[in-house]
Amino acid sequence: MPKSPDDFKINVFINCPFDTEYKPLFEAIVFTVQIAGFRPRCAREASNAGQVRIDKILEIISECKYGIHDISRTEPLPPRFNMPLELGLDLGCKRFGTARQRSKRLLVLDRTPNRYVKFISDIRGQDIEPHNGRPKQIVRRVRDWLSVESRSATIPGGSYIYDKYRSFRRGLPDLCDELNYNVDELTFPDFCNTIRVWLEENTV
Amino acid sequence: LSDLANKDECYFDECYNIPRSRIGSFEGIKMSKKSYHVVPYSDRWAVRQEGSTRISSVFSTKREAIDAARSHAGDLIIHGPTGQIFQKITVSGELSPDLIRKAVRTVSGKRSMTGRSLKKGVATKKSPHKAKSSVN
Repeated sequence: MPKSPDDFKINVFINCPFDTEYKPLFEAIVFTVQIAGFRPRCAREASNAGQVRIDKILEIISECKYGIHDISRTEPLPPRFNMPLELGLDLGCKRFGTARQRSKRLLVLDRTPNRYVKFISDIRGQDIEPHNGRPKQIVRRVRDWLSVESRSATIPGGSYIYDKYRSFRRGLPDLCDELNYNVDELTFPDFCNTIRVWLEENTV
Repeated sequence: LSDLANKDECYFDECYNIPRSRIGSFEGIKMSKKSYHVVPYSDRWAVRQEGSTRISSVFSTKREAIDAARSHAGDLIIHGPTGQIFQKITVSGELSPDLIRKAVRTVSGKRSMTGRSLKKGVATKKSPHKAKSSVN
């Protein structure tokens, strides 16, 4: 696997569905990761077009200390296997990687507790956190996990983060309008930059 | 099988419905630096490449025309209703932090203005005479 960069300790790999239905949850995760002082990474970030997708994912996984994996998307049938595959890759990196990669921390999310047992029972024993498809719960789960795993005392509380996220999301259409963008047209790097700058301007 | 392959190809791009051409410009496929103009066209709006006399595409709203023109990397020149150049934007692939910061400040400025006028509105209800004089 490629060598990890210096910011390994702040990189968070986000492995989740990228469809419209999941979009509010995805955005809530990205916002929480950024407000907590970490850097979100995912397969949608800009990269070399000539790179094979799985290589790109492997590279990102190798560069992230933290991994958030949502395995809730099991419908419609046949289910999408990308999320469990990438969770497996991350588990493999944690097990067989360098000393630094073996310090990886992973969060597995699902809609409800114990649902995963029906279709991916081999991960039994890991901490699987339910979010019930609600952004508020996902914010809390991600925030609490990052706080515990990074031993950081400076991450704001879940309710505070959620309020900030709602405020950001409410103002996003106006912000995009000012930038002559359509909200749906924002790419992942643009979205991350927008959150970062918005937080700089709106944090007391 | 081909359907499955297409679905896989779209997997990472579903979320924001980003035009494929725009993604291409991010990933280095499309690196041409051409200028595109968003111009009034009868009652509608059109996108025209600089140096070309032909219209590339026509849209019912200016917003749609701007969105379409954004899919090309290069300069985006937005015209006003009478044809005058209104705004020039460089579409480099990523929004610069300075540009975002400026937009955040403009929007929050507008918000605080609206907040003040709303407060004025509340005061107006209580004392209509005062409000009249302030409008005049």
